[in-house]
Amino acid sequence: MIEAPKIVGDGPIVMVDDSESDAYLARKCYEKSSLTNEFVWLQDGEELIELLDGVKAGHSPMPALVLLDINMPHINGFELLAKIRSVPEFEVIPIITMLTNSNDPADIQKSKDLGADGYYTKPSEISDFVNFYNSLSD
Amino acid sequence: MKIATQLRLLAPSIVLVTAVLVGIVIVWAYITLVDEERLRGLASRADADAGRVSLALQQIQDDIRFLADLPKIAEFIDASRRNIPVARALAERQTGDIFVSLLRNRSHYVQVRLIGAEGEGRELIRADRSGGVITRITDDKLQSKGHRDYVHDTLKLPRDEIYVSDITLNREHNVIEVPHRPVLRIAAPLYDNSGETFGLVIINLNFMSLVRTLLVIDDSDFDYFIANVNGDYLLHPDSEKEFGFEFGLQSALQLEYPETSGLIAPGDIDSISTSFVTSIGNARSLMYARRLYPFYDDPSRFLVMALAAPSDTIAAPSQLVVTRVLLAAAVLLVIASVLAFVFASRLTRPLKLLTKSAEQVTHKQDASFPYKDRNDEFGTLSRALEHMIISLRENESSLRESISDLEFFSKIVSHDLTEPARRVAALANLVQMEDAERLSVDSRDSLGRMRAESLKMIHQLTDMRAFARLGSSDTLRKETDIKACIEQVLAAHADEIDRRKIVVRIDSMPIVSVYRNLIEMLFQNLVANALQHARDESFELTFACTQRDGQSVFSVMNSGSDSSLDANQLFDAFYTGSTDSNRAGLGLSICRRIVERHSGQIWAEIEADCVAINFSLTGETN
Repeated sequence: MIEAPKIVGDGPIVMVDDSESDAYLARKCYEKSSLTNEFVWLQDGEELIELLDGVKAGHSPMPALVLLDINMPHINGFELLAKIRSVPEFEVIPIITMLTNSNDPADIQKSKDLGADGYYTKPSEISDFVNFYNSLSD
Repeated sequence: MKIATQLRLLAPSIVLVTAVLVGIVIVWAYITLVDEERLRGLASRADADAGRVSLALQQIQDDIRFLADLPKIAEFIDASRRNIPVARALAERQTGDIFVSLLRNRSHYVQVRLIGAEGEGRELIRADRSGGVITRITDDKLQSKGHRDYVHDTLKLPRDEIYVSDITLNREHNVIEVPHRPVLRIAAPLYDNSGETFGLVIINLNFMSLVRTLLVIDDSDFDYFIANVNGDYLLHPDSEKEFGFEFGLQSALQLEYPETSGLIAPGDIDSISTSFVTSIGNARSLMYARRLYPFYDDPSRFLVMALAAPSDTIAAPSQLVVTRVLLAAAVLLVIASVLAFVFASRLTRPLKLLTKSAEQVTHKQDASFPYKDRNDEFGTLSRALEHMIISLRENESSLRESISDLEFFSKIVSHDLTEPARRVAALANLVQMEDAERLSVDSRDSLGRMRAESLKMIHQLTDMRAFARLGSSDTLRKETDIKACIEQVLAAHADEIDRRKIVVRIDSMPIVSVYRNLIEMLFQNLVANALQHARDESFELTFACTQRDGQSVFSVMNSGSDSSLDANQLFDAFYTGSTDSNRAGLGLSICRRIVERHSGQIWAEIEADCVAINFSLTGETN
């Protein structure tokens, strides 16, 4: 299922996920999609905060999309989402939460409440993932 | 009705009923006593009246004896016998003057006469009262009365005895005089010096005038009755009944009031009086009747006098007192009832407040428990209730924490197990896409199986987590549009519905008070179950609702299903119906738990090409 906005600009598509395997699958599927933006994988929330600090300082380009895993150590996806949305400059960044299970209405609702632009259930089909990426372009 | 309200109504009711019962007993006793007193008063009055009547009648007898012994009459007799005209005329004139004087002083006497035995009983001296005028009758108007019984009977009497007639209507020339004039004749025989019967002296008494004057009947509230030895009415409130025997009419005291029969019977009697309650007209009346013996020479010539009065008339003087007493009693009764209600309200107020607190607890509202510092039963109850609620809330809180922990644990376990399985499935899919041509047939088969098992594991973990989450659901019932729920669930499967060209039909659905999130999950599982078990790519999916025994029964039906499914096992946990299913077999089991949470029932109807899952929900249906 997808409820996602379109990517904004030609900045990088940033994926924040502590799972290396998920990052590997996400990158492989991204390479099969029609998107041409840079794909950046960050292993935890602190790396994303550092990246956004760089954006704020003008050292890094504004991300075109952030794919945010929920279950992560140190700082989870919801906390990270709240932190990003608390900064006015980053209100425009499209953020999609990556859910393990789309049947959990509490997680979906919480994502919406914290300001996510959409959610996506991590797929087990490569073609679904590729289609998801393709749907983000105009 | 609540116990407190019942007690509040019971107290004044008991006061009211008790007071009414006591009142009835008192009124009964009062009426009995008053009746006794009234009868005694009635008897006293009747005895006094009877005494006056007897005395008046005895006075006539004394008067007749007085006349019979009068020297002037003796002189008249002597002069008549010796035929001395001058002396006879003088005695006649003086005797006539005495007769006139007697009439003047005895207002009820209507006639005084001296009748001779000779000359066919011719009247010799006569004075009459007519129209209030007393006149001495002249010789030319004197009549012969030798044919009358009273003349015969009196002339037969020995000296010193008197004749008393029956009381009858006066007759003139053998015809009853009109207007009727009841007359009593009393006579005494007259003898000359040689002992020969000379004649008789007789007084006619207007009986009705006598009794009406003596008894003050016209100004009385009492009804008077006087009857002769046969019970024939001589006096009656209804004048039509008086002297009925003169006209051959059956009108007697003992016939109208059988209680008086004993007084009328001839011979010796046990008592000369009787009293009883009767009704005269429509009024409850008391009657007292007694014999009187006015003719002491002849006890067999008695009269019966009865006196009757309506109870209200007799009780008139006490009626005001009774009214005031009843009014005061009513006021006291109202005050007692109000006090009883107020007192009962004060007593039951703690019960009412404790009940209110209990209701607040039932509705999960904050409740305070009053009267905890009291040393009575309410204090004990209040303290016990508060202790129970605190203990219950602590246990509930502890239980919620445990459930929350379990839920969290379940979620973590589910996530941690699902993620590797999903990744394995995705990686296998990646290999299938990128390197399928380089793999052997067996390797491709093994890779496919590995991916299928991984997907199965994901589905099973998803179902088990949903199943576990049911127990911790504590949402409140809300008015829910069932059709909106169904449409929301179908929206989630819109892609598959379009792709498989499934025809969806939703009948009219009610709004029901339910746990909305559970109902959404119920329809989610039913739709998923239909999509999974319908073999055909295109089939019909119908949502219906009917009313049975006042309950809404919902049905989710789909065509193109496997008819080999076992309807009895369909709702058992882990029943999949087929060995190659990827599901854990918990979908319909979850549905059953949701329906049971709504105190409803769920059942399946499986036909050749159609499976219908039916369920009922309790809750107010609008």
